[in-house]
Amino acid sequence: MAHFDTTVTDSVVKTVTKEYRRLLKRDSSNLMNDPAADKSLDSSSSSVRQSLNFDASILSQSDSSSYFEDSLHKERSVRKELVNAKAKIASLEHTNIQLETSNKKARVEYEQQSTEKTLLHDSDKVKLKEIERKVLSLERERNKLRDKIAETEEQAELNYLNLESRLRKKETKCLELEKEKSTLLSKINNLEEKLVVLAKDNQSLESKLNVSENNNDTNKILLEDALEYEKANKKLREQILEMQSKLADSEKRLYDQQKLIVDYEDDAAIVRMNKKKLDSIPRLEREARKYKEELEKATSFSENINLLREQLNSEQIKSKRLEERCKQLGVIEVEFENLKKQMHYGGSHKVMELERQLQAERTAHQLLLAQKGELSSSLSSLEGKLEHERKEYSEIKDTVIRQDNVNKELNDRLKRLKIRLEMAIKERDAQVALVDSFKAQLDITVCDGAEELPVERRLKEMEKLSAEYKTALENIQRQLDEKCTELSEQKTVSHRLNAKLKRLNKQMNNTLSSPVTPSGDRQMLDHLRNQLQTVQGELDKCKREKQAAAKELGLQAEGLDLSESKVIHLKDNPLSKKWENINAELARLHTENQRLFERVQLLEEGHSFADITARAEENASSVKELTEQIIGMKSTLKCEHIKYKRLEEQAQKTIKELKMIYFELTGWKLYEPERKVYKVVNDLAVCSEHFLYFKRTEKEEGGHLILLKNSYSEMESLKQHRQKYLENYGSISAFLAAITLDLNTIQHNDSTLMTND
Amino acid sequence: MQANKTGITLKGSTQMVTEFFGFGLNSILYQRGVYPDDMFTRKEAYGLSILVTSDPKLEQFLKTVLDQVREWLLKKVIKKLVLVMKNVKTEEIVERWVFNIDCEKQVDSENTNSKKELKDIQNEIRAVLRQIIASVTFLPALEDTCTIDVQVYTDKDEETPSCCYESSALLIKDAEQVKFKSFSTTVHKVQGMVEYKVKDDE
Repeated sequence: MAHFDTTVTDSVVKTVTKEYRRLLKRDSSNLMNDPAADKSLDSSSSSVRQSLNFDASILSQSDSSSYFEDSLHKERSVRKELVNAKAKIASLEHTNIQLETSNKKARVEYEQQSTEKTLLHDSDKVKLKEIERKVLSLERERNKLRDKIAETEEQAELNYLNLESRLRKKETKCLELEKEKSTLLSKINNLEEKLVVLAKDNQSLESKLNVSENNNDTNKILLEDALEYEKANKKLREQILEMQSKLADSEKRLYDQQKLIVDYEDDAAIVRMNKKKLDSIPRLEREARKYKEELEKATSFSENINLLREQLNSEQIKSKRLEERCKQLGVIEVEFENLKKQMHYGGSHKVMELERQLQAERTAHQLLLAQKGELSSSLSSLEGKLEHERKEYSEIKDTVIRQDNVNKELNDRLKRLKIRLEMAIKERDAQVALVDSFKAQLDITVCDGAEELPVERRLKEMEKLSAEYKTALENIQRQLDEKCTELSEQKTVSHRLNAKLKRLNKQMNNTLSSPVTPSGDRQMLDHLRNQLQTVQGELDKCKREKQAAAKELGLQAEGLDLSESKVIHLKDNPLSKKWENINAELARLHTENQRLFERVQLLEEGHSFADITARAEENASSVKELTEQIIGMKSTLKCEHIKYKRLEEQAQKTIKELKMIYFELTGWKLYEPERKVYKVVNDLAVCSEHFLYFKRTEKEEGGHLILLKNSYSEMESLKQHRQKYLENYGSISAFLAAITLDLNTIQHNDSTLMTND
Repeated sequence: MQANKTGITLKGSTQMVTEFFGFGLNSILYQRGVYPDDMFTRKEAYGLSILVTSDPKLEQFLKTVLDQVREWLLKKVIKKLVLVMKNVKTEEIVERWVFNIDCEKQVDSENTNSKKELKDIQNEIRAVLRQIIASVTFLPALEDTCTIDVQVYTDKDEETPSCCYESSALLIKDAEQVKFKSFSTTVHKVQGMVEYKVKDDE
């Protein structure tokens, strides 16, 4: 047994040591990461524990105490070793856990890095794509720019051609002018030569005159001289004519100003008219209120009628029921007759009862009949009432419709009046703006007139407007006076010039009549030149005065006096500076672009490298000149465009005004839906389809206005007028006037009828 | 501020008016979108949050303008301050912000005028600034790029400083005019208004 025990403990120790070694080996080989190894470690520890338990059980069964003590000692040592092994296992487990965590960390880091790298890779890809896209877009832009450059080049070429053509024209003009100049110079030279000759001739003539006064040759020369003088005279006359044309212009301006004043007066009259018309507004509003009340009454009537209708329906139902009862009574009578017959055969008791029933039935029938009569009488009275109500309703309805029409017309008139008023106001504003010397600043702010009536407010506004209008008129009058004074000054200047001219003419005549003296002619020429210089000086002075006046006008518009104030402009504005820089940069880039383009073109043409720069610069300089020319042309074009626009605006305005005046005068609105087709609509037209078409025939056909057929022109009412005025007299104006008169009479009759109602 | 219980001095009034012009010009430039929005920062003044430029160049320009205006206000020679907005392409004047200035000639730099409370003056200035801010609602939008110009109307005898040059007035033909409320420091009275070009289709 003892031997057996020792072998057991030895075996236990051996297994423990083996296990320990194995664990150590595994530790050394870093197999701790493996979860299977962990499991095996656990299993091994459990097996050790089991073996120890088994050993303990065996030891408990042993008999010998010595051996037991030895074995106990061994067991303790084994246990110690086991504890040590366990501690080592724990430490190994700890290291294992640490390694595991480090491994996990490493894996996480690795994964993070990999994801970051993939993200970076993706972003790089996206960037690459973006770059590619940008490159493509840049290429596209480049192409576009190239196209634009080509377009601009084409335009430049066209402009260049245009400019060249203009330049040629100008050159030709210049040449012509130079020719003229040379001819004039030659003429002057000739004249001078002639003068010299004349002087010589004069001397000779004087000598000859002494000999013979009737020498033909000298007379001829004198005649030529006279012709020359006549030419000079002509020139002077032309100058006078120019002055006269200027005078005519100024007179024209004066006339325009007078016209404007007349227009203003007309407008004032219109405003007064409108004011009068506005007075009738409260009366019209009162009428409208009255009609509204009547309309409300009519609606209440209609409601009553509906109630009566319902009553009628109920009465009808009742009468139907009574009829049914009558039928039932008839049936009962028939039964009664039958029973009477039976009575002859049957007992008398039953007959008595039946007779009683019959009597009761008869009384009920009589009562029902009486009721029926009453109901029928009430029904008839109600029907009468209903008819009466219906008539009243229709009458009120008609009056309401008429009133509505009248109201509409009144509203239309009001609108028209408002439009006219607005037009007058606009006109006034425009005139006020035109007359920049309008000193009194207009206060547009209209006071809050919540308590005032709208008509009163309008009236006040109108009064205000008229006051402003008066002030504007006064200003215009003042301007007119100034202009008149200017004109009178100009007239005096022109008179002076005329007097001078006359004097010169006289002098000329005197010189012509008197014997020719070259020194006197020269003096005359010098005198004329001096006069020309003085006139030019006066012209410059006038220009300067004009500029100063423009400045003054600007200040006056601001309500300031030029003699007291001046306008100061602040320099170094960053925004304008910025824009200037941008424009300069743009221009620089443009020139650079042009230069580069030239280089490219030259390279494409296959020129040598050295020549390119010089040639490109040459081209650039020419392009510069061209661009300058283009800028100049553009500015002139802009000016012309603005002028054209202004003219167009003015034309539109006058057309509108004329249309309005035409409409006010004749009552006909004029439209041009197609070319040479005119649509005319009368202001008093009852229906919207009542309009006429006129067409102007071609020039070959006579260019007459003809009436086109439509539903309105073919109406019976127009037939007479058409025959009388168009066919017999051939007068469209008379035809239109006749229609207007007809419509007016209809309108007037309607209105009188309404007032009578 | 140079206001006390007895009244306001010329210096104090000048300071107030110059300050108002600074805020007024800044808010006009912001409201009309002449400069981009990110170039402005908010600043509390007169109980209002007013946007003031943060662009150094514009700041410098406005500073020179206001310094000059201050000088003229002290001399009492200024009559008008006009901020003109014109189209960059067409150079057409589209808007004019006019501030008419009336100077009380009798007040010296030391003397004071009547007794007006500082609070009342500030309230009046606030009302004018509010009107300037609110004017965006009725003014037509500036569709094209615009640039600005500052013009000052002074006495004829006043010397033109180096930062300025004499020119003619920039006016708008057929302009619509809207007046703002005025404010008075009893020394200076400022009346603002805006003139703008009405479009043809309106």
